[in-house]
Amino acid sequence: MENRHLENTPPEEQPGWGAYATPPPNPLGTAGNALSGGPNKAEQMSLCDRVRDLLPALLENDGDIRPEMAATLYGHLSACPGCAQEFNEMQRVVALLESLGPAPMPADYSDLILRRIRTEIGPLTERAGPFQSPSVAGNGQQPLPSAAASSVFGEAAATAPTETERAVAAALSPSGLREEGLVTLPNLRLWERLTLTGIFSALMAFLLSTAWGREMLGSSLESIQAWFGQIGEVLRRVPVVNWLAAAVFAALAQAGDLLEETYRSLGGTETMHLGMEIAILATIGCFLVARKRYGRMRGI
Amino acid sequence: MEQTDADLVRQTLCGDTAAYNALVVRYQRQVYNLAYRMLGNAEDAGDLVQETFLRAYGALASFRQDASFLTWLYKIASNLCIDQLRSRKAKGALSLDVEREEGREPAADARQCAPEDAAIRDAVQEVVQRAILNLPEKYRVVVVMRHLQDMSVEEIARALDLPTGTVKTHLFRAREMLRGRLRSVLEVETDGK
Repeated sequence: MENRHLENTPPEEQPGWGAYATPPPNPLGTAGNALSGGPNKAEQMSLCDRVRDLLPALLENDGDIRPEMAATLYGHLSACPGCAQEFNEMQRVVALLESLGPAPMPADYSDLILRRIRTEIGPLTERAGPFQSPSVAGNGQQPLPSAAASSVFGEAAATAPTETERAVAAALSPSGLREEGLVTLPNLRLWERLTLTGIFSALMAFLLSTAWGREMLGSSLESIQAWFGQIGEVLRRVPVVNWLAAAVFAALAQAGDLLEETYRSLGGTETMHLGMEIAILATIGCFLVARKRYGRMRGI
Repeated sequence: MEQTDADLVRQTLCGDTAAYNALVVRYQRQVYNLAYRMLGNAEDAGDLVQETFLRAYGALASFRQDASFLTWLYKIASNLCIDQLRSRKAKGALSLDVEREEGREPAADARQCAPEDAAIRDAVQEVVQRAILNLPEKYRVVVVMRHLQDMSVEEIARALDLPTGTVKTHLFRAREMLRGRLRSVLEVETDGK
């Protein structure tokens, strides 16, 4: 990555080498020439800048810098006091950090943790799985498992949600589903969500406002319903939240039913109004979800 | 023969809490160290160790057995640390000064050396720990993982769900910030030589 300047750019395109009539065959050669040839001050500066770009990788010493390049860099460091001091300070910061060593642990926490596990959660079994129901989890106390899942996957709601909400959030959030291996959803950013919502709304509006679209929609509504029904079925496999999630998708499937019914009995205009309302609600919902996720994921 | 992490995880999933206890004994120090360097005081770090292992236990069935258990623990612990630092910030309950005061914790091996050496080392370590605690969370976590927990860039990337390039950039910026803040220590060292 940092090597880009020296490795991937042809020598004649590199800044600072304009003065050389014949560019050296490779970047390593250019560095060597620059050192021995006594370039003017501006060129020396740009060489130092490029060397300093590579110093973090040299410090990391994880194979990003090839041995020949490393040798050239060390050669420059031995000749250039400025860069040498820079590298020396970087090394000493690392040495200072590593001098801290492990912090002494004031107590052994294992007994305490074991006791808390036995009283608050109980033994795990394959049957119960990670999403034990609150009553199984610990006599109505803090039901850790689902709360844990939600926080581990960075999906915990920001404002102290109820246990059920947390479980549903964990299971329905994209990463929750991903962890369960059910659905692969891309980790979308706010603007991506908004764009997708916009495209979806525009598509809905187009389909509903043209005769052809209404015809298509009428014939494909059944498959959409079947699709929602299938997702509901899949979600039944997630313990605890199964009935809630299934209910949500059953409701969506019913909404499809309602849409179809309206189209058949009242015609396209009414269906369009209904569809637009659903699209508006979906837009608001997506916006709220995106805002919550985006707010939480800022930082790391 | 010592059992592997994967064996112990499997036994725990079959209902054997003692197997999980063995995992706690094996890794509590590493988790404590991460928490202590991130949070800056022993009490919060102890609470965080407990919380990490309880949450890991609760979510153990979702742990992919081919992954590293320690990296997975670090992932949970670092999330918890960052949550706690954010809620501290939101509450404004702990000012940075309080955090610094509480950060004072004598190093384990310092007292075994000559008293003056130990005092100097304590002072230097204190300054370094403060400098770490003054870093923004995302930089603090990579520096602690890389240089105090001795994790590789790839392990950090896995624990934090970040691309390795981002980890390297954060590391570089963090070290640059530290270089600025540790200028006084670096200068003293240079003069002393």
